[in-house]
Amino acid sequence: MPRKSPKTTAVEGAVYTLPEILDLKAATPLTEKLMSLRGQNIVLDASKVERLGTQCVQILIAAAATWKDDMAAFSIAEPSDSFTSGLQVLGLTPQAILEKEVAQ
Amino acid sequence: MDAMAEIRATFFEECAEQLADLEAGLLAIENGEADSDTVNAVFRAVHSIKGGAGAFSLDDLVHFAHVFETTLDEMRSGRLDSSEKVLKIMLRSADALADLVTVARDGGSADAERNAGLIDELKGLVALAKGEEPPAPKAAGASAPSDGPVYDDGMGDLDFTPVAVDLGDLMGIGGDNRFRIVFKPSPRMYAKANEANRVLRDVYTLGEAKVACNISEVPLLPAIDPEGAYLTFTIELSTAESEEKVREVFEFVEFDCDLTIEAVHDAPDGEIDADDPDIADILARIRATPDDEPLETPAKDEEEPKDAPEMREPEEPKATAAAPAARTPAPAPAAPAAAAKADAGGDGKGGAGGGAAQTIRVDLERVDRLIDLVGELVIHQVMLSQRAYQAGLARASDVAVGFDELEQLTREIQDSVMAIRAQPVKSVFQRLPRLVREVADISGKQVRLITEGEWTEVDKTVIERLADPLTHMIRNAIDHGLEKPADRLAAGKAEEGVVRVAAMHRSGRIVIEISDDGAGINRKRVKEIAIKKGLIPAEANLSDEEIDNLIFLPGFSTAEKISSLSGRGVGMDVVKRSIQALGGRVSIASKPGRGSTFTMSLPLTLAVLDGMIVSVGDQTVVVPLTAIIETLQPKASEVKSFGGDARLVQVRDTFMPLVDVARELGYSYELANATGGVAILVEAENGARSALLVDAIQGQRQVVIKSLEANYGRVPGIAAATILGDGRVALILDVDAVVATSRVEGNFFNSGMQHAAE
Repeated sequence: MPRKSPKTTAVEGAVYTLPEILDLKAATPLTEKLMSLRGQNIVLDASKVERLGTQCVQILIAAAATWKDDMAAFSIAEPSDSFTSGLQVLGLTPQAILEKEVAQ
Repeated sequence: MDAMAEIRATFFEECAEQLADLEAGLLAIENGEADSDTVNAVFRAVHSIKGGAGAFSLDDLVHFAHVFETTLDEMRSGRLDSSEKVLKIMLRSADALADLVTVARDGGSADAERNAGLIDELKGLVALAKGEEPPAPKAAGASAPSDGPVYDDGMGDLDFTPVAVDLGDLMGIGGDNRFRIVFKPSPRMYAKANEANRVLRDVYTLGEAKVACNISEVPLLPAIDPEGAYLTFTIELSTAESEEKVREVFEFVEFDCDLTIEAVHDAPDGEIDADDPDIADILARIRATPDDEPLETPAKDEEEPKDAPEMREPEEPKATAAAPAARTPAPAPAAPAAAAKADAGGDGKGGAGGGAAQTIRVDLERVDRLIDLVGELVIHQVMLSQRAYQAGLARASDVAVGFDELEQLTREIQDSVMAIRAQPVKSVFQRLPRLVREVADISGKQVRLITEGEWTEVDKTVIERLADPLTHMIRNAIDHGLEKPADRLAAGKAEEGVVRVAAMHRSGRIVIEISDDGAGINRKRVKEIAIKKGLIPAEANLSDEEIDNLIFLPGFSTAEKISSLSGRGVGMDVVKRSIQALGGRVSIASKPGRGSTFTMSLPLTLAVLDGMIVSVGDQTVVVPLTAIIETLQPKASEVKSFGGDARLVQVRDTFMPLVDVARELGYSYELANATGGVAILVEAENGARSALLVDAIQGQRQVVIKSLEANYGRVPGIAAATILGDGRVALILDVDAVVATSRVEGNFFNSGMQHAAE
């Protein structure tokens, strides 16, 4: 994945900073937020993430696949330690989220 | 939050147990009593601590445990000799690990410098075992900046050779259980606030786990249920635990997920011959490594995840390359194979043992409450039957038989409840080796500790309150008792001093002896100091035993200079007082040049006592049955007076002092008529016999001990109190104290001691 700095807000894209706590309660708001950003290139800034729940991971995977389906760019920038290790526990990497094809 | 705190508390409890196992195992190895199982147990202990600590993100602890574990692994695989030097480092590491656990639990800071030093030493041992040049600066350089576990070193900046050697080591540790777990949470599980990642973290603590996540079921965003469940995890777990243990992890989520756990007997993938489970095991471990390790060295930026796949790739060739290399040593030494088998056997045993002797953890308060209640039950049962007889119940009636049965039942209940509290003194003895090591280091002496009778059982309260006096006495034995190595050699003794701690049951009490083979008490000096400090008059003429006992006087110190260990004069008198508070006694036997023996004698339990109920004057007094040998009615011809008030009674062909209990306790000032009462022959702790003169014997009964100190205050000559069947309070006699006071009555020294004890 080419690195996209979250600072450079590309004309055609948006930067969304993921909230600190991505637990069960954050799942629905996260889905809604991502739905509202659909259709444009997006960079998710994961540098603030402190806690990462399984359901939000599912949503991120779904989002990545959706963006891919929409032929729009989707990337995760500056994953925090908690973010990466949260994925690690589930046997995933930030890469794996982005790259897997989703079979409908 | 509460649940979390509870889990944390359990973790630390388990840590304490693991640390005890660790130390016990290392000591067994040091004494040459170890078999391969011991080494495995030691390894498992450290491994479990590491695993648990990982779950709580206790990084320092994880890091240290990891290095320690790696070194132990070398020992387990037989590549590292368990030489004295190695074990010294291991033992110190065990101490450091214990400190880290304490720091993790209670906060504070560990001795980082020492730990870093130990880590280097441990790594040095690993290097040594691998046949590399010992702690090369290269290795140090590699390990210093990266705070991550050592595996990183091999992967990061060294060529692949060390990793290959690592594989060879892993060969020896086969025999672990491997499971393939497919875990698919259902939405219900999340709805119950159970997180998949928490379950997975628990799995990681069991052993080396590789988790693969199947994300194919995740739908597109518009179709997703934010609180749905779409992920399936396939876990390849290699663990020392049984399947049961693995299932336990899933206990809470069992019904809210699809779960299959199957034992795997062949290699996870077919890329290598599946016949050799060891190799498959290695593969499983290798694969697990990259997943495990980055947890501690998380990605710093986007570049890192990019590296990750690259790092993985060399992993596979490495594994294949290593496999043949690893195979060669496999058939050659039989030892690792045997170790592996023993490991498996040990696990089996552990499992079977777990089935046969299951344990539960119970809050001590609940047990205490039960004991209190049973105590009350006993009192009431006695009261009830007494009242019934007083009301004219016939002894032969059915009700009386019922009372007898009830009494037996109550007794059995009481015994069983007391047995819950009984614990081997091992828990206290376990702490001693470390204490001895530390004190020996500080004092510059060489000490060998021998413990005996560590399975002797005694009430938990006694054990808890035993630790402090015991610690103090051992410090004393090393600091004052043992001579410096040079002096020992000059005296023709071995350089290494011996401190022996032995526990045993003796006549219904527990006796703990602390003996050293040092110089013994320097009586001349003790007396001089006592005179100088004004504790005794200069012209006092004391027996050897009395001089020895001077060291129990408050403010006494023989040490010429105050050391960090002892010499502040708040020593033995505190020891003596705390033992007395437990209803115990302490005595000394010392032989110049040959050493001293301190003997502590304590009651087995602080809750019940078999006693003889006697009348003394108007009072009812209980004499502990354990002290009594026989009773007799003295005839006038058998009682001899001498030296004023002192009397002797002749029993068969021996004479023994006749102690007038009423007079000793201050119930009467007149000398009781010897022929009018009953003489109870008692034996004191030191084996001396005397006869206690009382007015009459009422009977024999089990009484519930109620502390007099807690409810009233300490009374010399009285050990405790009890409540009788009729509701009256009766005092329990402290036989030794009564006998001792009577014998040396008027002695300035003893009255001084009495005063101190009050």
